[in-house]
Amino acid sequence: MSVEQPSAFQPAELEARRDRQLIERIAGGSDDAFRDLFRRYGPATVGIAHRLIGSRELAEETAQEVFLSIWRRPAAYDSARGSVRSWILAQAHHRAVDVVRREESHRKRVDRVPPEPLEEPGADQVVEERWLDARRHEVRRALEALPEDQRKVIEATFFEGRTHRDAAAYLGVPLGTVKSRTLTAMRRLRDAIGGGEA
Amino acid sequence: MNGEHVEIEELIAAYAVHALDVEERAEVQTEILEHIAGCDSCRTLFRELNELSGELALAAPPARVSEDLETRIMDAARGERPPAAPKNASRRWPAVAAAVAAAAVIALAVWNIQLGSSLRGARNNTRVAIQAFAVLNDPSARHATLTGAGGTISIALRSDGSAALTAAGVPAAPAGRVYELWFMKDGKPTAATVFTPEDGTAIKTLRLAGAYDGAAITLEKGPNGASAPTGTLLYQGALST
Repeated sequence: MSVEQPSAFQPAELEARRDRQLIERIAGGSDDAFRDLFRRYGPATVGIAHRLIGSRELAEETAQEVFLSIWRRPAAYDSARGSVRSWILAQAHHRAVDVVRREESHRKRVDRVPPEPLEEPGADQVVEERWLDARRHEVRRALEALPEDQRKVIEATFFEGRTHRDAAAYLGVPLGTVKSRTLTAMRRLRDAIGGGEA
Repeated sequence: MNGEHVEIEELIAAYAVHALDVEERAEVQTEILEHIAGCDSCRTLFRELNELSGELALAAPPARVSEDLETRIMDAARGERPPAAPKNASRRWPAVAAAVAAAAVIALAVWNIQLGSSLRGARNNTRVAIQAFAVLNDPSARHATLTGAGGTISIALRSDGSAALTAAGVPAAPAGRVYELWFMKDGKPTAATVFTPEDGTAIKTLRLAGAYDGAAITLEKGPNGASAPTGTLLYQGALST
């Protein structure tokens, strides 16, 4: 696969603006812009889906659904609600969680294989632009900086696809505790990394 | 800060990390939408945490994308090639704010023709889009921009009773619920139409007798809505004179 040369680090706002321009061009029917958007966020999209689902094939299917829905309805992007990147990755997360829950209704939850840590050991051979990789590390640092009890709740729900109820049972804490820890953790994360335009 | 407020904030966080059961999701979504329509701080939290959830997804290790996947996606996209949006259409008519939104919605409707399985359904969609476009671009029509729970809803009402609605960036209606549009006269609502946004967008045309000074939107039981509003006011705006 040919990938654009990683650009020198550029302020995130420039990249966010470039994403919005890609969406506008996609709305005008440009498949070049669509390919650019896919090359930019394909690895992250398959990445979050793979992390949740654990199956490469289903993760790729999920990414395909996400990108085709963007191609069909680029007007669904609303800049008032955040960055293009967050919009794409939130869709990927959402669809992947749905896949996980559907799959898990077939196989028992107890058979779940513990996922690998977020920080993959030196296997980062994916070619992504440097600014995106820098942002990824910022997000990871913010997650690592959470108090352990809060981080566990975010991992059990957001990164492993459990409902609050399942997370409470899994972590052995009351449902109310899971709810309040989720809110506290999300607020801290928001304060640390902000949204996609940051 | 009262207990109900904190409870809503927790629901917003649960919603953002997608930790709700399918069964509770619709109910929670209704509760959130009804609350944020009248609460600035929770509306901001809702937007911020939903955006944050996309950023958090970035923490997962990126996956190498196979050439095969790119080829599959590009082939599928080209196979359903959308037309270019009618970018200049709005410039030929008097400049009303709704025109741009209408042009985008029309592009979507035309595009649905290519995706639609039923030709009749596709023709109908296009007809609705063109009618809505005409009403929204009519300088003699009265316009309202409704704001509240997120996104923008544009309304236009002509003196002959024909009216149109376009929505963009509006949160999805919870399962089993529809958004219902009410035209208002001295604070009294008249049921106008119901809609369920798809990917945040919706387009409707309707006919309605009577004189009105504003419009409002609530969530009601689907598929037909209610004859009088039962839900909290989610969007509202005055009609231009």
